Amino acid sequence: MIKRNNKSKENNPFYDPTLKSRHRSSKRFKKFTLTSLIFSIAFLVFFLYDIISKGTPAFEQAYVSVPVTYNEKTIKNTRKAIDRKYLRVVSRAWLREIPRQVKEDPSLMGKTVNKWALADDQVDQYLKGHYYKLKRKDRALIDDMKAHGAVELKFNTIFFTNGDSKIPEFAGLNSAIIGSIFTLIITMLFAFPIGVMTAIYLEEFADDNKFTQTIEVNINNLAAIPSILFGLLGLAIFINLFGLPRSSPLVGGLTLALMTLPIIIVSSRAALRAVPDSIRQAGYGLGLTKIEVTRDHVLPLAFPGILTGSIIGLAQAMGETAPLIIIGMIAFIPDAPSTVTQAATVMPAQLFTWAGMPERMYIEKTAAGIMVLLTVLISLNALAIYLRKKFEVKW
Amino acid sequence: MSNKNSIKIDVNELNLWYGEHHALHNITVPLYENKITALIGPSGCGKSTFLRCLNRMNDLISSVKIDGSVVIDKKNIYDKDVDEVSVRKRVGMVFQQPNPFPKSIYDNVSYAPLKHGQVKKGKDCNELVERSLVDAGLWDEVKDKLNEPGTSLSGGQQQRLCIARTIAVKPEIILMDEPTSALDPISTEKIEALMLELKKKYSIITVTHNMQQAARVADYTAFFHLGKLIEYDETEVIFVNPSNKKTEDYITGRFG
Amino acid sequence: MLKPYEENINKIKSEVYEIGQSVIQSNKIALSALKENDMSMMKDISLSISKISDKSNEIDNLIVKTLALYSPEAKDLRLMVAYLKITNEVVRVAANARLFSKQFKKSFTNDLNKKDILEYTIPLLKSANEALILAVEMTKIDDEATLEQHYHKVCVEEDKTDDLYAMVSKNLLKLMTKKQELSKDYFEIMSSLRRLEKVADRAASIANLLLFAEVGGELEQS
Repeated sequence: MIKRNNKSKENNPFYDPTLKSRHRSSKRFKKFTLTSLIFSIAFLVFFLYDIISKGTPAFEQAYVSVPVTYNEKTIKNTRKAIDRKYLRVVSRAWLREIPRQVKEDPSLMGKTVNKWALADDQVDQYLKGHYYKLKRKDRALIDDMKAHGAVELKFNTIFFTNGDSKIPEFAGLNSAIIGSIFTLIITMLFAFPIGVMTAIYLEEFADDNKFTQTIEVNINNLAAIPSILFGLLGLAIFINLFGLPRSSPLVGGLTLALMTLPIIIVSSRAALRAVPDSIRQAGYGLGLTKIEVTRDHVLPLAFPGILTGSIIGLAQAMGETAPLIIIGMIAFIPDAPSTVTQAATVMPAQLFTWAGMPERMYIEKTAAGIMVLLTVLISLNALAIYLRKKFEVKW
Repeated sequence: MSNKNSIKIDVNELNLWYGEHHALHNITVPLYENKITALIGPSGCGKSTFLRCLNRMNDLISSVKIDGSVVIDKKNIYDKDVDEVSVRKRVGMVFQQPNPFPKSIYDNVSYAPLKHGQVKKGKDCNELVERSLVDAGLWDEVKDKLNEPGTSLSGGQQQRLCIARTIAVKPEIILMDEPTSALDPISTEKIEALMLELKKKYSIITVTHNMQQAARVADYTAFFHLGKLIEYDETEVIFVNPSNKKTEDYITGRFG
Repeated sequence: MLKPYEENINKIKSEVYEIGQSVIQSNKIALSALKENDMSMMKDISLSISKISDKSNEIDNLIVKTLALYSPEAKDLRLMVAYLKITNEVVRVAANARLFSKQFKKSFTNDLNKKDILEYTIPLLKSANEALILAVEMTKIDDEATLEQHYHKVCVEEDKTDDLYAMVSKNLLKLMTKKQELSKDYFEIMSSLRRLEKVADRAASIANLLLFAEVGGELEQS
């Protein structure tokens, strides 16, 4: 900071008495703006801290080492495969898997092996220090097993490999991720070409009259409509009128495409407008036709902007929940869809469902899901910035 | 004025309106072949508008209405059966701001001729590119970097690239809209020397804010004021013995 | 520098050199006539003042055109202005040279003391022409040092003509007092010789202007 020594009037031709209060008010303003920035950052930090602290435990899952008996009887009635005292600490879902384990490894037949079994969700929560519903007996058993090293927290691959489940410890984000991917592919497949072509027509070919101005105003308004209305639109047109399968990525993608279209059109138009007119003038001056000028000279220059706008639109669509709820993608979907016409769910919808489940474990799964969603969104935005920088033509 | 020159563009009673505003009033002027004609005048006098009438670039603006004739090779280019795109192939244009396409130097020059079907890709095209760059006085500086983007050149080089691009299409007439206003004095001088060379093969019409430039390079000078053509004569006459007082006031700086 | 501009400058220089040369040539013929003491040789002098005047106008208009079209600055501007003044000087030099040869031929009758007159006239004409030759030569020189040398030499020749003219007028006055009936003729001879002194003055003026063009400074009447 430069010290201002404007104090003396003598031999200082630059002395200006009004400067003191002007500098002061300038400093005040700077403090205001800095304070606002600090507030925003504080909220962001608080939010991130909350999510991360709630979600990180979900990436570890409790496993217990128990002896498992594999024989004809236990395969039919898996509850018999382990000792009674373990029944409440081992996950039911894991027990269901026993026949498949034998199928994969027939040498297990007739043996009793110590296996790392997925622990029940209450055990997991107990170990993580959260609210639990374990009986004292079971708690004592777990503590004992822990002392003997028979209890471990391993990395939670189930979160990424499994679909939704009513059994908390067995629930994962996989089917929602696949559903999101399918939905977004459909969205982009429809929204991108239609949006860009519309923008090109409006910007390069259409005359500037009342009609096109009305269209422009309407497109801008469409971008601001509450997204749930698009859900109703999708319900009415795609499901009722066209009879497409409800809750499928196809319908979800088409609905989101309608929603993303205005955004793509607006950002593509801006990108096209940003191309200096001198390029077009040069093209016309050489005796080129409109299509030659637009396709070969204007579009390549506008492309980074169009791409950025589209990726941002895509990122926004990825986080949309309301319209998809209306068209039914909120159902319980344990398996990932294999085609676009099968019932599916998307990540935000899955998180909405989990947030409403009673079991304690779902809280950390929801938070972990939010972290995954945020990571994807940030990556998409980073991709947008990278692609923009890569394709930007230097002037 | 000597009449042994042949007329390349014969403009007769040309009027232009931007919507309601009458921008050009009854312009009649013969523009001669293989000569440089300069259009001078204060800002807003219509000289750029007039220039753009000569290759129908004003057609791109929807509010423009044009009356009168611009005859090139005995055909009025504003006749209904004349395609404006074909006019622009014969009447090329160089703009005030150098505006090379964001492509390589080679592509900048070759794009339009390929599209017009004047050359095929390969040896013919390479020869055309080289010849155009030689004629524009740029070949030596770029012959080793034809694949670099056109925008990597300096301002003066970019403008010469635009000139090369324009002459690659083999026009007969080149229109220049203040081609050196955005350049430094040395680049300006290079372009002026280039214009003197080019006039051997082409007819050049140039708009310039800089009277001294018109004095240096032009054979004929036309003085415009408020959309009217005030005086048109050999440059030497305009700058030593102008007939019209308005012309003299402008040239001597007594305007306004 | 644009080609037409450069061509104009070279044309101006060479045209001035040409008209200077035509005066120098006629002076050389006069000099040989004096040396042979054969005044009839003087009729070989074909110095046409009107032609030189026309050429001078042509050069002046070319200078005006070049000033209008090419806005010369610095050395080029000084050059244009210098040559504009030099054309006048050359026309005056030509007039003076012509008058000298005409008057001298007419007045150089056998009654006069031809030996004495020629004794001074020949060196006077020689010096005057030498000054002119050096001055005109300067149009082709670029080197500053050489130009200064030439200028000094011109000044030397001009001084010589001043001295020579002073001496010859003294002697002619003496001859006039001796034979008063011939004083008119001697007077005519004296005024024709005065023309030669003027030629040298003009040559010095031309040299001064050419030095100003190359070296700079301010215009001065020399």
